[in-house]
Amino acid sequence: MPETSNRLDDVGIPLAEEPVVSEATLYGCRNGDPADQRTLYELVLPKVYRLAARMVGQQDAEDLTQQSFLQVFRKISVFRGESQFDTWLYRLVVNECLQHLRRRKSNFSSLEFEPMDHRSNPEQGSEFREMLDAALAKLDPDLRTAIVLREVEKLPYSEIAKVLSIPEGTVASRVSKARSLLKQHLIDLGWEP
Amino acid sequence: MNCERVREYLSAYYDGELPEAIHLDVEAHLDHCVDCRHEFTSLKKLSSLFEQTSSDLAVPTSPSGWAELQNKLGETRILSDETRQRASRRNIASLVVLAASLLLVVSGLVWFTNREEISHHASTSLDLNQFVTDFQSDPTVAQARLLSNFHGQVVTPEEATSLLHRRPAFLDRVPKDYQLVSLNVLQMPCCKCPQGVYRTPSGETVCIFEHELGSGVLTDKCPMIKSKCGDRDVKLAEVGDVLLVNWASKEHSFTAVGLDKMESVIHLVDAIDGTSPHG
Ligand SMILES: [Zn+2]
Ligand SMILES: [Zn+2]
Repeated sequence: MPETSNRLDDVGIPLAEEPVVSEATLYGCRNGDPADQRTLYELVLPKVYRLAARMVGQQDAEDLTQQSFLQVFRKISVFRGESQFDTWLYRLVVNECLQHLRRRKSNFSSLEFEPMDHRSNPEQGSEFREMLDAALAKLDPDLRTAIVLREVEKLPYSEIAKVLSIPEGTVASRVSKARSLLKQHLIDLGWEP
Repeated sequence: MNCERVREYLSAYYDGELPEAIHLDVEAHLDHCVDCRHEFTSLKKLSSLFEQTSSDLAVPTSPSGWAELQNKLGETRILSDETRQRASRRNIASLVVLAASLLLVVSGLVWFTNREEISHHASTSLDLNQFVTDFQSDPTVAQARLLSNFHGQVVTPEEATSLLHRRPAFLDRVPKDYQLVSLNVLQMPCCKCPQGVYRTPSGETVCIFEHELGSGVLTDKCPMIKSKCGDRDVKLAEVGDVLLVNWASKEHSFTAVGLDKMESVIHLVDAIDGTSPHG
C-alpha cells in the first residue's frame, strides 16, 4: 500500500520513497530469524541495488547487492540503533562498493565507451545510462559516492555527512566538484549540457 | 557577488543547502547573469540525466537471489562456528592454565550475543562499535575517518616520542612477527593516545591504542565481558567478526581491535605485558 497522504515533507528536497523497517524486523534480524531477514531483504533490496549499480556499474551490481546483504545480516547484531538504520545501511553498502572499486581499480578505468556519434542508436535510454556509468566510473570513488548519494538517493547534505562520517562542508565541496568533473566527462563522451 | 563566488556556491544553491543570506545573493546574481544561469541550467540537465536513466536501476528480477543469499548466510554461519571451535580447542590444547577461563569467555561471548545484554553509556564521542565495524570492512577507510575525527597525525616513532614526551610502549613490545603499518597520535576523548596499526602473520590487521592510566575508558559504550588472561584482568567484546580487548598494565591501559582468535589476543597481551605463558 503506498503511503503518501499523511507524510509531512517540509524539506525542500524530494525524498526517495523510503521503505520503513520496523523495530520488530530489526530485532528478528539480530537474532537471525529467517522470516525477518526475508522481510528486510525485500524492503531494502531496491535501494541497495540502486546504490550499488551507480557505485560500481550495472555489471557488478547484483554481486555487490548480494555481498552487501551478507554483511548486513552478519553485522546487524552490531547495529544498536545509535544511528538511523538507513544511515547504517547506506554506510555499509558504500563501504562494500568502495572496497570493490579499490580491488579492481586497475582495470576499471579501461571500461570502453565510444563517443555517442559513433554509436548506432544514440536516443535509446540505455545509451544514456552507459554514458553516465562510464562518466561516473572516471570519478574518484569519494566524489562518486557523494554525487550518487545526492543525485540517486536524494539525501540532504546532513545525511550524506553522517553516512560518510565527514563534515557537511566537505559534502558540499565533493558534490560540487563531482558535478563539474562529471559534466566534463559527459561532454567528452558527446553529451550536450 | 561576482561570478567566481557564485560558481563556488552554485551546486549547494541548486541543492537548497545554502544559508538563506547566501542563497538570496546567488539568486540575485542569477537574475542578471546569463553565464551563471547557463551553468545553473546544466546542473538541472545533469539531474535529469540521472532521472532519465533511473528506470534502468530497477532490480533485475532474479527469484533465486534470496535463496542464494540464504545459502551463503548458512555457509558463513557454519564457518564462523568452526573458527570459534577451532580457536577454543587450540587454546585448551596449548594453554592449559587458561583453559577454564577461556571456555568461560568463549561461551560468555555466545551467551552475550544471544541475550543482547547491551549497556548504553554515552560518555565518549567515539563510536567505537562503528569504528570496529568500519575497520573490518576496510581498515584504510576506518583509519582515515578516525584520523580526521580526532586530529590524528601520522608519525614516526621519533615524532610520537616527542609529541607524547614518552615512547609508545607497544612499539617495542608487540610480538616480533607483527609488522607496523602505521603509527598515529590521536587526540581522543580519553586522552592523547598513540595508536599503532599492525599486520599479523596470519593477515589480520590489528590496531592498538595506548592510554594513560586512569584516563576515561575508550570502550565505555561497548558491552564487555570481564575475563582473565593468565592472572590478568581483561575485558573482551566480540564485534562482528573480530574481538575487542581492553586491559591495563602497570603503566598504561591498552585497547586492541581486529584480532579474530582468542589465541592471538592472548599472544598479544602477553607480549605487551612482557609475560609469556610458557616461560
Ligand atoms: Zn555570473
Ligand atoms: Zn586514550
